[in-house]
Amino acid sequence: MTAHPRPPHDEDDDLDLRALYRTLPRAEPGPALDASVRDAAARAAAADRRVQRERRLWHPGWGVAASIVLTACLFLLTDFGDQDVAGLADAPPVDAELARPPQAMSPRAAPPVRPEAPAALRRYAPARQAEQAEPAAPPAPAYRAQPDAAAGAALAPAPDVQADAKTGAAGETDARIAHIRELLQDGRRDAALRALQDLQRDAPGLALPPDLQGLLPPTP
Amino acid sequence: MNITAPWPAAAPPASRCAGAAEGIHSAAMDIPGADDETLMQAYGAGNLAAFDALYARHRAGLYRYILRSTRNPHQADDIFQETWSRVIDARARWQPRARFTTWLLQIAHNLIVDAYRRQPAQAGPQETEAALATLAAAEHEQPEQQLSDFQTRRRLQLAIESLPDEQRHAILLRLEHDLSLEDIADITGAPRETVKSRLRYATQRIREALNA
Repeated sequence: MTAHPRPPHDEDDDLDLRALYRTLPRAEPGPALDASVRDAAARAAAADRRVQRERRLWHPGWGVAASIVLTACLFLLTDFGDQDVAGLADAPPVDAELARPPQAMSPRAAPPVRPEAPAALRRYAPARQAEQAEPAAPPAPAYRAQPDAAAGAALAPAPDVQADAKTGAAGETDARIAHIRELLQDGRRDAALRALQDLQRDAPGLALPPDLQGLLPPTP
Repeated sequence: MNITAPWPAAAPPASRCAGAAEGIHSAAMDIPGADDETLMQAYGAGNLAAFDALYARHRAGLYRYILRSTRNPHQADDIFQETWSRVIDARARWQPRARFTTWLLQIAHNLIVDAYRRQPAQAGPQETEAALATLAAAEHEQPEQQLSDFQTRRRLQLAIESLPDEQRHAILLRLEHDLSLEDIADITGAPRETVKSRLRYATQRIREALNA
């Protein structure tokens, strides 16, 4: 028991009573009571140590370190680590001309050309030409989904080349028909027949003029 | 009963060192020389040896104060255990704003008062006789002197037990722990002059009983 200074009051005349009191039986707690109290104290101390150990395991420094590692992993796994994306800030300015949306399709732009008989020959078969006519093409969209300046530039001259080719083929056919007629007028029927057969071989779908159809031998 | 096996002899601290917080986490701290407050802080930091020393110092005096206040061994055991349980529960938040002894006895005193309110203690003759039967007489005393001393101690014990509760608590704190008026006032929650008056009446009644 901790010793304390004597009480400074005027009733210090109880010294004899205190001496007599010390002769009374020195009762003390029993062993079971001592063990019970000490067990409770030991359990509490053990619980404190457990909590302190858990606190040490979950020190805030660990949380900070885990956050840093997680952030680094995310940085490496995402586009932030890509040099191309990471260098966007240093990229040259965007060309306004290239970035401008494309203009509406020019009226000269023709639909894609299907391989077929030249236009000069189709005039001899109007009914068949009507059957092979393409359905009306939908109006060109005002804007293309993706601007492609090179493709747009290549599309413009294409109709002219194809038209020239068709015109050239029709002129050649007309010249060969005129030649066949000239052979017939000269009385050279065999030569005219061979020229006509050559023409049919070169242009299988060609509709012959009525004056030349009789030249061919009847088909079985 | 005298058990001292697991508990070292209570040794009063050399001095109260208010700033002796260093070393309380160390198992190699000077436990025998540390004061009660340092030991309590060390136990709050997880030093079980500090609690052992603290318990060894106060177990006997605390138990006698409770036993002679309640006059009921079973109730005394319960209150004793509950007092230490509260000390254990308060280990982490305890601050040395007051002396540990004062705080410990205050806990016990409040528990005793609560026990009175729930069930007023009645000292039965069997319990009193059982307590008196533990009186040990010195072997060198003569039979006549032994009888005289026995009767004197019995009168003292009966006189203490016959006191009103407030006077009995005050005189027990004074006789058992040598506490000052201020300490007794702190523990019992009574004004200093009230405590002084209680001690005066208690002393007078005991003297009358001894001289009867």
